[in-house]
Amino acid sequence: MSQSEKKNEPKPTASSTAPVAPKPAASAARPSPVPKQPLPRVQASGRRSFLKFMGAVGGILGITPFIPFGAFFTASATTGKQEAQKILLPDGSFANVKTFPPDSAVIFPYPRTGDERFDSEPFRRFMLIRLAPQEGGGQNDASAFRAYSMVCVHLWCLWDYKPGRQVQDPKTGRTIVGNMECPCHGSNYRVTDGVAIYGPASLQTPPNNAQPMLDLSIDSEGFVVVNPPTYTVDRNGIIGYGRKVQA
Amino acid sequence: MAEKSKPSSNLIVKLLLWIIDRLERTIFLGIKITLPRKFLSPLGFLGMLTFVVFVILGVTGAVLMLYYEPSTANAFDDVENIQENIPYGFLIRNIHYHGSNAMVFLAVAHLYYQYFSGRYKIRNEIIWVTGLILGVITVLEAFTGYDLLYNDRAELAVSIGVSLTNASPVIGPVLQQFIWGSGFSEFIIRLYALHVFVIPLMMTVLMLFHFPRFLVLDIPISTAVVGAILVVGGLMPAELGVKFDPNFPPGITVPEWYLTGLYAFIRTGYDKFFTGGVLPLLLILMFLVVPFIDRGRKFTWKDRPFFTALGLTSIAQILITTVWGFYIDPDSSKPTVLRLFIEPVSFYTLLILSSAAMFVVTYSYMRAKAALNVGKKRVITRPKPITLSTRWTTISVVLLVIFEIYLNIAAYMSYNAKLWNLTLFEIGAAFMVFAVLFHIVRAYQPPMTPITTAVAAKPPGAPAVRAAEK
Repeated sequence: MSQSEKKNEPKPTASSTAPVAPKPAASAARPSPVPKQPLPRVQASGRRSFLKFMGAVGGILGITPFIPFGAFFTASATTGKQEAQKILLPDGSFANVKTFPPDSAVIFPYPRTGDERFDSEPFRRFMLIRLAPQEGGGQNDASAFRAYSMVCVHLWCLWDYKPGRQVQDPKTGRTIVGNMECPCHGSNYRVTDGVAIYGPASLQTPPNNAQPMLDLSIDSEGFVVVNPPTYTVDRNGIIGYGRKVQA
Repeated sequence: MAEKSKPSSNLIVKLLLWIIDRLERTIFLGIKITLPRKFLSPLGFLGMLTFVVFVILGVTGAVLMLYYEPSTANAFDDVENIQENIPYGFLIRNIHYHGSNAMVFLAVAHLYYQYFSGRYKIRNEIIWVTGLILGVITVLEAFTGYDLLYNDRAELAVSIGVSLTNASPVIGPVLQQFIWGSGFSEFIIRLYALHVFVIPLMMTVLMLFHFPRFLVLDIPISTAVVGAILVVGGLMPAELGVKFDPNFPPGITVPEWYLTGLYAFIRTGYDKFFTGGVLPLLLILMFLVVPFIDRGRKFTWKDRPFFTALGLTSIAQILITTVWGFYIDPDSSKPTVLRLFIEPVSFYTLLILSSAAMFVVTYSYMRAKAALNVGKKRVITRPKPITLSTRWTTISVVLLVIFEIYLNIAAYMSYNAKLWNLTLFEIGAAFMVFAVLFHIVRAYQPPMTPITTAVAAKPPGAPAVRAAEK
């Protein structure tokens, strides 16, 4: 029903109750801008669908800021202070390049908080290894040391360092001194780069076959310092998952 | 309705009727729950039985939460404390544990019964699909639950889960952190949050889309199932295991029975994502597409040889993988990895050959049988219900009540004697006795008496009073 038809309709209430005068003024104010010819339907529905589209866009824009909230679920083990830290030894001193014997290892938490609840978390436990002299452990710089996550990338047991044990590298055939072995299913890792060489972990597809590793440096007094890590597959690796090793 | 025609003077009954009347204003208006007055095959309402067990798990689980802290330091010790020190903790934990097994079993049985009777037809596709999702997350719920014990079995379950997320292509690292968090203390909290809140909530919502409008709640059979759970709990009390310690290998152990099939696949040494993820998914996918393929008008398994053969083949596959998953080489001189390893060629060959054989044999047998039966009218025979006379009904009811009293006293005494699994057994037995008792009472039919004497026995004033009330 068009506007003009509506105007011609009799209004039964107007005559009986309301005063007649204001009524036409009010109705005249409203329909005057409406053109006689109704808008073509296509155009009208075009505007309607445009508005609907804009409504949908508004809705999506409202939700968009929440997408990065997904990061809430994938926080790294070491959220919190990621700072350069010296490595505390069980005797209360710090690991030093001058005193730490070659072909030996020590477990340490990183980042160290002093709170047993955090420091005992397997995902915060690392093994500092000074390589055997045959592997370059005699050097007096950071290249003599390695720090790997203790969580085996196979099934999350905690591996152990076997000093002096000789294993053959299946690729090069060379004999390596010092070995990382997991007690659960016997995965063996190459101590120089943390890549699995024997056992079930070695059968996993890269990067699911190498231990995450911390970067180390030696400060002016000779202390071994952990550099703040980036837990991505390409950098320090993801604990319990693995690390991409450049061949 | 029956209650309207016969107004009761009993205040409690009046209150109940008042409440039921008002409940019709709520969402329950659409659901009709029938309490059957005679024995019905429980196969038809396995879903309701699953729900009954779900409610029991909710109640016992809520109670267990009071003494359990999801942390690496305390989880195992808390379970041990519940099991050994908290009064009735042993019983509640056992009911929860065996209830979880019963729920998975009932859900699978429900799935197969509905499958073979073709219930996914007649516009039941939504119910079928939501049921399938419910079944999968029921297993997830059970899986997250037994990880919370933080014992060697939990260690194995976690390692199975980890190996699946780690083996996922592309999203592996993100998925690992999404599900397990970053570390042992985090995954135990995540699994706990999933187990006590997220998954039960999802299940409750899905149930709204899964429940048909007509439900059967059979009190005796529900009670008997609960009793059976307790009896099994008494016979095979849940074990504590050894505390989870990532420094030591887990003892040789197998997962819960609903996961050994998956475990067998993973142990074949092939790509874990394919064997442990894709292959089991194929089974679920098969069930998912069946209602959209099987569009015929035939319902019973006898008339659908192809789908019956398919279902039987899937059962055979589940049985083979499940049983094989339990097998571990007993030679302890071998390294663990070799003892766990399943030789893939024989495993997959047997699986494929037996599946093919199962399908061909059942399918051709059913086709042959159908060809023989062409033209024959199918006769449905129903067993005649056993009816007891008034005398024997009374005697058996009295005896059963006495037996229940005995079981109650026995349960109390064995509890005090710290024979807790015996207590569990006796409570379960009492439940089952009650189930029989309830059934006898409901099945009892008073002997037919001539109508004339019945009218004469009534006080003459009674009809007049009732008329005056109206």
